[in-house]
Amino acid sequence: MPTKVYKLKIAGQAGQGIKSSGLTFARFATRSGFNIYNYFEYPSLIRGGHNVMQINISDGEVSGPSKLTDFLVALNQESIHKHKNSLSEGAFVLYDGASKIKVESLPNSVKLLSVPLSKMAHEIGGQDILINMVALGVVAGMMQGDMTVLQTLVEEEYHDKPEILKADILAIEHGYKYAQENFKDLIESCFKLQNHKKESRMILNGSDSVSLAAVASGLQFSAIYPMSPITGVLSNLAKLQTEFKFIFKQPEDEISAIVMAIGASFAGARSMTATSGGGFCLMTEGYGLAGITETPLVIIEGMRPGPATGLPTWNSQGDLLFVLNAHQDEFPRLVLAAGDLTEAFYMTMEAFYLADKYQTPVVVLLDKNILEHEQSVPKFDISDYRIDRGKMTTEFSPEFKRFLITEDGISPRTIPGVGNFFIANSDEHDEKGFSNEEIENRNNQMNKRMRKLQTFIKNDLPKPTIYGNENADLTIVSWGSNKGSIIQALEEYTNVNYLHLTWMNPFPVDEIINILKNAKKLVILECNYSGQLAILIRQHTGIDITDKILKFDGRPFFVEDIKDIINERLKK
Amino acid sequence: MTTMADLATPIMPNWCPGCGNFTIWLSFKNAAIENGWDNTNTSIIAGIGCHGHLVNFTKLTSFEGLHGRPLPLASGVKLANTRLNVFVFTGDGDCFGEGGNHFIHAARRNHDITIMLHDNGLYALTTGQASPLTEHEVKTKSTPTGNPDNPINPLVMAIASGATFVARAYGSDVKQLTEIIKKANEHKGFAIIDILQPCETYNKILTHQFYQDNVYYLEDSYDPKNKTKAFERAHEFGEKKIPLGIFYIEEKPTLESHYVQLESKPLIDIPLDRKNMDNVFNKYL
Amino acid sequence: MDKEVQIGNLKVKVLRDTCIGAASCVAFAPTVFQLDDERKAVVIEGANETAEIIMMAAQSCPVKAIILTDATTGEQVWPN
Repeated sequence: MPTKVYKLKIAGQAGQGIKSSGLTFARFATRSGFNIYNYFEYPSLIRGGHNVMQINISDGEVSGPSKLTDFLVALNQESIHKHKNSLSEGAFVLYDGASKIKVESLPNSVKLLSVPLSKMAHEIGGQDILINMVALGVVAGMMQGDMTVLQTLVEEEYHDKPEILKADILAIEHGYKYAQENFKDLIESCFKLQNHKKESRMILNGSDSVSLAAVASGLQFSAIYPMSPITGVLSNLAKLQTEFKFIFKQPEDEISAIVMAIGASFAGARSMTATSGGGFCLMTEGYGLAGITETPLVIIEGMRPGPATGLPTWNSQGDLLFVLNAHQDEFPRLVLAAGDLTEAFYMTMEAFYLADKYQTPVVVLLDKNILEHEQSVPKFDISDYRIDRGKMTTEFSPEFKRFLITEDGISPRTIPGVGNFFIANSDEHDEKGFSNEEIENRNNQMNKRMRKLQTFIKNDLPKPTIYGNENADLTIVSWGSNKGSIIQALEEYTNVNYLHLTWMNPFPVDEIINILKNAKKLVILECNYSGQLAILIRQHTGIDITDKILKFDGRPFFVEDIKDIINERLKK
Repeated sequence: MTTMADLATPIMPNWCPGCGNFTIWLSFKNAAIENGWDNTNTSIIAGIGCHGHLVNFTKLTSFEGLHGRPLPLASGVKLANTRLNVFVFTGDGDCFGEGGNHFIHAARRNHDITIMLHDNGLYALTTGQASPLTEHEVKTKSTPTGNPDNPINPLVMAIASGATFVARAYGSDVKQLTEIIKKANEHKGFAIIDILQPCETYNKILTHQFYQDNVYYLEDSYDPKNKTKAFERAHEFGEKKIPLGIFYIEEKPTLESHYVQLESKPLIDIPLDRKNMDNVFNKYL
Repeated sequence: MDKEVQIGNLKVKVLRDTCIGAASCVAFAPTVFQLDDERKAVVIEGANETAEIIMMAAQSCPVKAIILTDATTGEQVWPN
């Protein structure tokens, strides 16, 4: 039986505290022993606009957003209008009975909860922002949640603002009591959020997990220019730098960001930068500088729809071919894409290890949905992570050959200030870094750098993962944040599996060929216009996956979408 | 102890005969010898231009980066290792053309680095195009009908952007330039030396002769702490009035001094093993 | 006639009329070149210095006023 996922949606005007109250409720769910997956939609307006926080709650795993809603908290008229067609059978709709919100045209199976939210909020002496706290109280009451858990949570969040804390607690209590007293009969048919007292899990989004991973990997220097959707990484690192003694710097532009990071890495600091597609356009010059000077660097690229400004606060997978080919001419590129925030955590740590080992830039690609949506995950385990700086030495040796021609393509590395002379040279250069344009030297250095990819394929390229059982009537091929919806949908099928791709360069050619060759029926899902992963697969394997579902509207594949796609193909 | 031989590499300079780079390079090496700069305490960052080739002739661990990007590169190096004397060799095109935006921000941040601006008034490596410092109406490869642009005054730009040590030197006066380089490096903060560098091959106006006839040193009574006076004198340029010396000095905290993490030791000496992150992980529970 | 002085295997001569006193040669090889009271470079009798330093000094001269000749072959080495 697939795990039951209960979908709570809080919708309303931006600035009504929808995201913060949604996050509080999500944490309330995990502290009560449930798993959650959040999906937050907001337009890129400075202020205002319709915000939607969808909290998927389950006692099993939950990893993707849903179209249908089981419990809608409509904080304004627009919320009723926008979401009345995506309510599941017998869904609850909570609205402010003391306001002028009209609720006639709702499906008749809907259970209406009219609560004088604004009146109750004003009685407590709070302004409108308190309305969503009263609403939270009502929802908690309907789900018979453990009030003490919710109260401790609110106390933790507002311990430094006593007057807000008092008002919030009152608002929640009043809401909870109102539900218990007025909707006794409806409570039975509502989702139960009793306290399971299981070990609670972390709730965070991809920006949090990438930032924590970087710090855990021994990050020493990071330069990031603000840009949706990676600004979360910037604010996390800015806060953590004093405690963990690294340096975060906001530079004047993305060119400066990547070049500063390269300078710090050349001087011996483990360095990273982060940006989105538009910023990465500016970074492409520096990207190859790190390549030819063999300077380790981790680059986080958070994807949003383009071109240019595009849809800044929406989701995309449209930068794949751009990142794989950015910068003129060739150097060893390591490019991998995370499927969720747990993968983002461990891949970021791997990226720091690989950057130092192969002395080249490593790009971790992340969809906006991974960076910005919270999910409950087991606490990260970094106990077996070793800081391994590869062939780095600070020992002095008179004729140090920083760009020595080696069999595995990786030269011994040293840094300034330890007595070893070398030139990190953006010109083609010889083994000590002197500019050298001779034929033999150019061939030697180019071959040496590119040999790193063969060494990587032999030693560090993992096999792609297949979810679901080996032989299936239908194999879904995809990457990035589509993984969450696909896996959740897959629970209802035994004859469908999912080939999840993470390593984009080098590409695991042989494994992909034999998986695709043995698959009975293939369909590929991507959030970009021309099916860039399909193009990459055909380029490397010669196999053309013709059945493509391509989405570029900035919205994710919902779990229901995946089921429709599967059902249509299993029928044929 | 550093000797001239310590600084030599197997590669001989390939600048044009009479190029101002020869004596700028010599002055820097003299300063290095007198102050003991070597591969244990100094790093050179160069942009792309005739000046950039200097890294091939000077045995000090260096990074020749991209055209216009030596300043962010040097900023990263200095933040990672505050023990290093960091020198940036840059040209007027490299620094004020491609790298103009970086210059303004590096200056206002007051990084503790020293900028050697090889000011030859044009792009020489690419055979003589106008640079942001080329005078109005001057004819060059790219401005055959005369330069339509008005030039940037590097000293005024530096002071206005927040540089806290601003000087000008004539590239061939090795004795004076050596002294100014030492003072610029001693200065805690963003130090720039606008080095007038004749380019005999392409710049027929700003020649050795022209500079010898028109440069003079700021009078002893000149007070480099006075910002308005510095702006005034920085505008002087022309017949018999090209002032040399230290125009402006300001004691201001360096960017690096802001970071409490760097108080006791350079960034790269801080251990990067972070086994215990539970207190941070638990915040997300 | 400009005086020619032999140092090691090099004959060194300064073309007095061409010299403009930029003194880059003095900076490179102070034991070989000095400016006289007319700010003209003169070669010092009996000086010794490596051929490389003298070559660099000659190359740095903005007006190619320093002539270097190979003492054994008599062939002009700079300017080439």
